[in-house]
Amino acid sequence: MDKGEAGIDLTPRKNIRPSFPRWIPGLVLLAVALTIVGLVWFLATNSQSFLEADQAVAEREELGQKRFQLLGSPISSAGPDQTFIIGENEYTLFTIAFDGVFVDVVSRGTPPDLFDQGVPVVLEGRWENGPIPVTEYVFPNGANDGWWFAADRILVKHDNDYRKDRIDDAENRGQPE
Amino acid sequence: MKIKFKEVKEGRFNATSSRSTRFLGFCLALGIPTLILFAFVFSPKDDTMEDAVRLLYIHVPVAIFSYVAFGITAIGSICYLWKQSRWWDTTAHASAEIGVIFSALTLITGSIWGRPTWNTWWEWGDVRLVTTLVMFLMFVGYLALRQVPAQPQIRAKRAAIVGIIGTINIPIVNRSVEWWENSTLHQQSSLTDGNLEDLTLFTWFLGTLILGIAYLWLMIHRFRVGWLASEHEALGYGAAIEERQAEAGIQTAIASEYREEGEIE
Repeated sequence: MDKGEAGIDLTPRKNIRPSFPRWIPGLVLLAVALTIVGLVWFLATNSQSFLEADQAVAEREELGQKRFQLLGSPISSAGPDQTFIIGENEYTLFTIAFDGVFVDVVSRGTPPDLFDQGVPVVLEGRWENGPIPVTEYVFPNGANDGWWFAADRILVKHDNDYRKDRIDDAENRGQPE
Repeated sequence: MKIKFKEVKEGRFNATSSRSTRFLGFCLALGIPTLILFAFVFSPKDDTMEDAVRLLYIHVPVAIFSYVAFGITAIGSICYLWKQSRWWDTTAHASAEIGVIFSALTLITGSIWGRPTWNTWWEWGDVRLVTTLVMFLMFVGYLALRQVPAQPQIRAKRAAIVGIIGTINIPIVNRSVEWWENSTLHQQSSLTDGNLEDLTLFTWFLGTLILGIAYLWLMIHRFRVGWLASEHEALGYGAAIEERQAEAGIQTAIASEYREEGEIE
């Protein structure tokens, strides 16, 4: 026991603050480290999520029945003559293009509001070969080569142009170079 | 800035407001209704997105100032490690808190914008969305780490390290739309590509100005609150030491000063 000048006990008192686990800061730093590793992994594995239509056509054999995301621009808007109800499902038939390569699409469900000619879309689905659900249908200006993309989800990849006189070209607008 | 122990103790200290913050507050009081008018009334609809384009005037500015806020946190963290100054630590902390709020607003407004535009609220494989979420979570972690009880210097040092690491993600978030353009639905910058014009461009600038003032206003107030908190904490340590020394009959210069000013008995 340490006695000071006045003869009182100067021994440090016990810490009466509620104890806090010492490993908590280490846990937070570990979480930060894991986040960084996870981020690097995510960026490395997601560097090419969308396959452009020309690339998807070139890799058709390798892709087989694999599900993937297809990027391209519709060459026309979805009119009533392109929509069919078969059984309980609604199908929309249209063609997308990228870099001069066309892909015919049979999409299950209603297209989103912004679906329009020249507005790039990302379609989720897989390649199919053979007759389409609407057997007598011919895609106007489409590929019509027996291959078609069976899509069940349409996402719109809107471009960054907000000018009034923006170019409205179906093949070039908003597409990555 | 020296504050009186009694004022802090009795909760009478009210110094986060000043002439400059009142001026900034006045600018915000005028600016926010003006921005609302331009965003919802004067600026035109977009040809394809229609009214959804109006979110651009809040989403982009809050995203920009979340980068700014986390950037200031990084600068404050580096300067703290270099100078060991409480001022820089308080600056880093204040900016991180505002950055987290702005970042959350970025994610929320982006999601609301995404539903009518992209046809989805959220995409887990989207590089821009996920890196932004990681940035947000990193700084939530930074704030959580600051709540772990520790000596102020140790706490500040730990936070500074996380603050610097978290900031590494900012250029990745910002450039992701160019570096991984086929892995995100997010558009590239409209401003740098010259794709905004007339009232759309003006309203965007106005939104950026107003959000910039809001950041500055919040930052000054939050810094002052943080400074008061650290002063109070330091005063608490000082008072405890004084008490122990008084028990031991030791007179110190600090104690004398406080006694002369009548702040402690």
